[in-house]
Amino acid sequence: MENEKKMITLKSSDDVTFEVEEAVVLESQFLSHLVQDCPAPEHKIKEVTGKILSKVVEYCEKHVVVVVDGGDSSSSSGDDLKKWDDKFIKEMDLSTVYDLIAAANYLNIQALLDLMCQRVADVITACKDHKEIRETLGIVSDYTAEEEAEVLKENEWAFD
Amino acid sequence: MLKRHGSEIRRDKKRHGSSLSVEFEFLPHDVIELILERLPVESLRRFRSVSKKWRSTIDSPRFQERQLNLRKQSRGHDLLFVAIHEDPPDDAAAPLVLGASSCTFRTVKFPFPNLLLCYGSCDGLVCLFCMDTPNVVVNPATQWHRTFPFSSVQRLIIDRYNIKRRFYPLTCQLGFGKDNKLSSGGTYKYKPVWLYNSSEFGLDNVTTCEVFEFSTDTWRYVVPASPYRILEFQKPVYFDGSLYWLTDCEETKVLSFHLHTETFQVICKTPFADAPADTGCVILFILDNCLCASEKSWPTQVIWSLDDSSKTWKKMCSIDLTDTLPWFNNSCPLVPLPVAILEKNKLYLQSRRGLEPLVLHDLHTKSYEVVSTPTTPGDCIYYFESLFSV
Repeated sequence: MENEKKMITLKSSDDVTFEVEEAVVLESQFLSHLVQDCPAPEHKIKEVTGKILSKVVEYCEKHVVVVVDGGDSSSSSGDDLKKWDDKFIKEMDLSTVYDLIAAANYLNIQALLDLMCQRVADVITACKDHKEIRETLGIVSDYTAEEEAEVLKENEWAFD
Repeated sequence: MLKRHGSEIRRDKKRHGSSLSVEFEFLPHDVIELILERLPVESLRRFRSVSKKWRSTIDSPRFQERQLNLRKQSRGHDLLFVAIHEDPPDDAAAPLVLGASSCTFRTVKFPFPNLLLCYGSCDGLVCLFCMDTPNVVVNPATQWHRTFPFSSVQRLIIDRYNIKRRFYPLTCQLGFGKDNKLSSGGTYKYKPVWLYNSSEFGLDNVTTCEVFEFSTDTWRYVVPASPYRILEFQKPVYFDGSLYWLTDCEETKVLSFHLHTETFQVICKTPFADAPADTGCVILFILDNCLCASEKSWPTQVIWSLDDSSKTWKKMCSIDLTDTLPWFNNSCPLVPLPVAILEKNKLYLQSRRGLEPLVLHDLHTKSYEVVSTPTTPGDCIYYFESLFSV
């Protein structure tokens, strides 16, 4: 049952290379298909920079299920993994979060996408009003002053 | 700290220029929807004013359905205590987290004089009715609400009794549910339904059924209605596209009304079909996403759940009423209504009189605990917050 671990090289848009086990690559639906369809030792990912790809690789390496000798399947326990995830996102600025969301969406890594989306959702929830959201996320409002007053009024359809 | 993020984005804008770095606004819209569907309903309601894109997303039925589905998956339902007479004290408004679950218990008071509540909720919508003020459907999370007129049977009751007294023998109750089939416009139809025994009102046929159509704002009759009389005083229970009642026959049966085809069907006997069904002692309800039934057969109350595909009943648990009733001041003339089961063995019970406490009964340890004692009469319902309106 001794399998030699197959290694695959990923190359970012800015030519930073990462040598990873195949199992790590399989965390990404997109890369799984790529590796199956095109069994080259090296794959260039033009859409992702080295800085972001290193984060993606770090996440996937942590989350990959390690198959130990004897068929015992084990991964980091749920609690540990959650702690790790919390630390992983805490250290990240929002700009990196957006890049990672775009990368996770492109590479089709659902768990990473969920984690990052939740991070942004938490930031939005913490905002006190629409102005703070616009400022935090860099959104330019396309409402005229009248339209905005109208929507704010609609929001007060509430009781009383 | 949030401001800092904002300035970082602007700095990035200048710094990166042609780099691959993305900003929030340049994320694909389906990804932005993935983020928004994680927000609490209260935030979504307020944040429609961020931009036109946000408003059209939050208002779209497809997004609202995704938000509700994610909400259902990520945590179970909540319990809502709807106070009917007077406002609860301020401290009762804070949600109470039940046990180790993420289910919360919250007290609300709607600014409507309606005294009666349909069973449960449907897609986060709650329906209230009464005989002296129009019926109303409410979304407690967004506070959206819409009134709708009296049905024929409500007018008959109003004519017959001195409604000013606000006490009248209401032998039938309003049901509220959803036609599960998506309409061509991508929305679902919600339908309030009255089913009542005709003889009480001097009408022909065994029963009479009226359905409200929100699109035309009118009530209409559904013919044929149920071929069997229904048990009095029961609340119709909505589950997965149908409303359910118990019939008043020699053998009590479960009657369904499919809200899309608008047809009645006897789906099965009850597990206690042989015993004569005594009004108030048998009851239908939802637990753990199953249609359930129970009967008071002193000194126990057995809870059965219906297997949807085989239409057979499975015993879920049984409660010793001699131990249970003291928690309800020994005065639960009807059987206590199970409102939720959490963590497999924690059963939440409510009396159906309104002022008795919500009691947690642990089915393993057989212990009891008062979760909350209402200070104002009301009804406890299971509920998921949503953005839906009618």
